[in-house]
Amino acid sequence: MIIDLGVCVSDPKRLESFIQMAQKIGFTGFASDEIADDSYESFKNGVTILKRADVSGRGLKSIRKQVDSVRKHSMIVAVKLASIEVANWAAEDQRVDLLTLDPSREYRFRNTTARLAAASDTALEIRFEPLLHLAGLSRSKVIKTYRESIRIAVDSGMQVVLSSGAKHPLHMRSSLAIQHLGELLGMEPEFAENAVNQTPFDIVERNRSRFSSDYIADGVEIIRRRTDK
Amino acid sequence: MKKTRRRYLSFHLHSESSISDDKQLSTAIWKNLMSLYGEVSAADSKLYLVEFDEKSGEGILQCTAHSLDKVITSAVLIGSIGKKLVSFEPRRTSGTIKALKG
Repeated sequence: MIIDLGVCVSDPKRLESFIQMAQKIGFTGFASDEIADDSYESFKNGVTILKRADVSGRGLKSIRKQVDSVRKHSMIVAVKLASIEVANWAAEDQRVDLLTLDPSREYRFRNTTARLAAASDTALEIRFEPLLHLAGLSRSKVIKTYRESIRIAVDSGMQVVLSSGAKHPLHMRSSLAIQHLGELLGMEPEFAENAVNQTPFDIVERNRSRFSSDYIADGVEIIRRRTDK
Repeated sequence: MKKTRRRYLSFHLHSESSISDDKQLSTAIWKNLMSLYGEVSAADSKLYLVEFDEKSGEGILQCTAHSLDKVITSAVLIGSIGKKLVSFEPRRTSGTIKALKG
């Protein structure tokens, strides 16, 4: 199962064109923040659509409140990296799946944040959409930010997810194409492959099991109930 | 002089409407190749668009084996050609065109 965890379907009317593009390039699912559907996971035309919540803000209090309210209804919870306080809190909190790096903000991803995230299985999300419409010096600056952050994440043992951040279906790229972008951003080929295929799948599987009625806590689940035969 | 090994790449160019001029596509890849890896790498790549069907968006690129990854990365990073949004999908690579078509 190949899933793009960062698609931005701003207009629900265009959802169908995103589904078609996902099918064409071999994706079996994607996560988007603008899904009107109440369920955290739906299935349309052979493509799994996952509900994603993007949490952003400078204050820790506001971020905490948002995570509290969205976690139960979203398959993916991502926090935008904005300040050290927010980044370190989100990195440690197991309810947060992704730390999204925004290259337009002047935020430097730190070793300490990466180590906290590695310990709680929170992944760094890199969106390649800005690279598609930038050129020259401005693209070079984004590549620099991404390469530095990925190196810090890899050195700390943190997982990295490569997602499209696509606002238009034609911003999406196939799995093989994204792997090449991963290598451009300094990943080893095997790590890049995992960042596209395995890590997003693992995150979704982990959350599916958390949403299951048998889940109690990480590593603790109901195997058999008294009424079961 | 040591002979450079060639590689062929089959691809699909997804776009809003068909790209009428295949030169636009090869120019866009060249530009990205130059911007990302420099003029020497672009020159050494020996990039050549072997064929491109404007209607289906399918085509074959030729380059040196050494520069294949750079060529793919450069092509994948093309966001638009002219004013048309595009998405480059690399499919298969091979040492011969015959194997790609087979």
